[in-house]
Amino acid sequence: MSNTRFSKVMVVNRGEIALRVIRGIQAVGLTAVAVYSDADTNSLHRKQANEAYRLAGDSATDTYLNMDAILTIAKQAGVHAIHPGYGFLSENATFAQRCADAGLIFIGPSPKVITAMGDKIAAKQAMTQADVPVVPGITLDDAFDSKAVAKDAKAIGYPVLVKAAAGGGGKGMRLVYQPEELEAAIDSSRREAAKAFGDGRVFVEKYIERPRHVEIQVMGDHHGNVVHLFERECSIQRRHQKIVEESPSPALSNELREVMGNAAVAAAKAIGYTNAGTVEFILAPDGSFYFLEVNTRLQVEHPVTELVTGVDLVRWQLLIAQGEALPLTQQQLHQRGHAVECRIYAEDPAHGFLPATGTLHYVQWPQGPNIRVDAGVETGSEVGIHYDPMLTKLIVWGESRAVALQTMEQALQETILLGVTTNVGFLLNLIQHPEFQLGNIHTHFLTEHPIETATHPSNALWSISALALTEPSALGKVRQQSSSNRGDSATPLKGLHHLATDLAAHWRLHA
Amino acid sequence: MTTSSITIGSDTAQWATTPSGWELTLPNGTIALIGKDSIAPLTTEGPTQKGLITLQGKQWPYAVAYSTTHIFLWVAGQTITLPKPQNTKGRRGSNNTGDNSQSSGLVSATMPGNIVSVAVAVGQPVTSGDVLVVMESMKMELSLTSAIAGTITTVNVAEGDKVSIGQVLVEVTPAVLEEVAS
Repeated sequence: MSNTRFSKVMVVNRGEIALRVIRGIQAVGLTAVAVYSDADTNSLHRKQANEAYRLAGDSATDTYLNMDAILTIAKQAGVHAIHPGYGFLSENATFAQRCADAGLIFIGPSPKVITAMGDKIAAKQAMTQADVPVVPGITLDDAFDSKAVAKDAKAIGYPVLVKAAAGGGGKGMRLVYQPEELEAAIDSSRREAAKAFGDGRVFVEKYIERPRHVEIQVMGDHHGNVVHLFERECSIQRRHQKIVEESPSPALSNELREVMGNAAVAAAKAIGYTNAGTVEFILAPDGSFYFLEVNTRLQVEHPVTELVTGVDLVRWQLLIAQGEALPLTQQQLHQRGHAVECRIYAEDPAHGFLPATGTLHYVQWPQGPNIRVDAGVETGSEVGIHYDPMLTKLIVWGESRAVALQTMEQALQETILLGVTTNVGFLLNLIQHPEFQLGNIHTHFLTEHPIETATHPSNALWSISALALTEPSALGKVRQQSSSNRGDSATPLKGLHHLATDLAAHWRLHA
Repeated sequence: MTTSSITIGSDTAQWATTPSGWELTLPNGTIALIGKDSIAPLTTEGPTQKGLITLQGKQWPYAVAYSTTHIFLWVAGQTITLPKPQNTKGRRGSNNTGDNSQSSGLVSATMPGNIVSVAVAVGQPVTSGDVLVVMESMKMELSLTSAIAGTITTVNVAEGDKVSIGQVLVEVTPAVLEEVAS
């Protein structure tokens, strides 16, 4: 690929990532074009862009996933390149191909790589060929030899997991700790799989207890150079979705970091990877690691890598897409200090993390050295039902993990989001959990350590609550109406005799 | 002097009105006096308020916002939502979000969202655990099931409808001679 200079880039996304990418485009002196759905008419990403075009409708299908509409706008607006962000069309090979066919540069890897990595089995085969460790396992067809299987399972090492090849939803899954239980487990798994999927094939795979999720950021240019930008640990997950990420991982030694980084680079080179990508691994407590998948996009958690390496990943993406070589070599890249990210969601941790909606009546973000806020909302924003409920990411840096966690605690405490239920309080309790503080985390952490979701109000919160219920004028609520009386410091006392009536009506009354 | 108690979550505070002001005895035994000297002047920004509360010589920032139905409060890192006081009597327990409605046969939306499918029709018998409605919000699907055995007497929604939290979707009238659902 020769030099392909471009000046106008369209961001096909919304929320915080659209803003972050738009800023990255503007920072290198290019023109940023936004698209927005009807629900996003007043959104921050629309306002931040140099040009913005409407995608009619509200649903993702009608708007941010609507390839025809997006490509039509791109052509009319004279766009040269498209940045897909994450989610939506970012890992859609058809879209990447259609961009290329329309003479547009898709900022990401080639459609061929996206397709190859989207197929789990093909991806696993490609990794095996590149000598990247994959979870060891054996597939059993109908005519398997149980003695040979027992031998293979022993070689894999117990515990092992028996899974339906056609599987999903845990059907046919058996966890086996002892060799003598294996045959019975395979038999019952095959019966269940045949009944559920009409396909009795099963495979036996090594079961990793308490694994960590550790991923390596890679970047490849069109000149054959690939570097890694170290790891991110993303073990804290709820409903299989990451909520806290950090770099470095508390579990990696320098040796293991180098081995995993080299494995990721080897994997990327083997498949001809270009632009930003993430090679995800599971890391066992004994230090062995196994390939999980390749994400062919910029990740949600990319800022932790930016804070520890000092590299603007979006800038690199734009340079690579324009045919430039990677600005730094592997030897020039270093991890400095520690970064942590918390994802703030509109959801209710006390009720199964169900998404919440509403109007954000008041928003205030934390400030201070080493605090980065990638916000997708502001005061007055509506949080609707159409898109992902992530509102904002808080990312902090510290010279050590302990300092970074202290800064995160402060940042979460200063975050004000009024009007929509969020997970801010939950994140605070999680960050303060002793096992989290020690770095003893794994992907089942939140199942093993239920985090308190109830608010135990501080003295001040009790007082304000009681005042808000009984004397809203004391909080400035009816200021306009009673402005002539302001300065009368006795106001909070007025009407206190109504307290009993009001509280009796709205709180559980014990006395 | 009037005394009573209020509860937030699992914690309870005692309060009393006294000749010198208002006295709040907190769960840890601390007594907070809220009177004319303890509230600092407040500033207003647009439709929201930010201010400072001073308790026993220590000051705390707070923010408050109001919707038509709720009060949203943030004080030094803690956020809570309270149902707005109403002057009508007999609204005791109105801060209960209606968790009991399921057992009475009224099945309401537990989140705002879209109706993906309606699995039942009026007149159809159902048993406890049967899926009645599937709804979707922000890429997440949720099946609403019947908590009781009975007959569908009302279906208020159809596929594709938008619903808000708490909206009654389906009504199940309990079967007369049915064992208690465990």
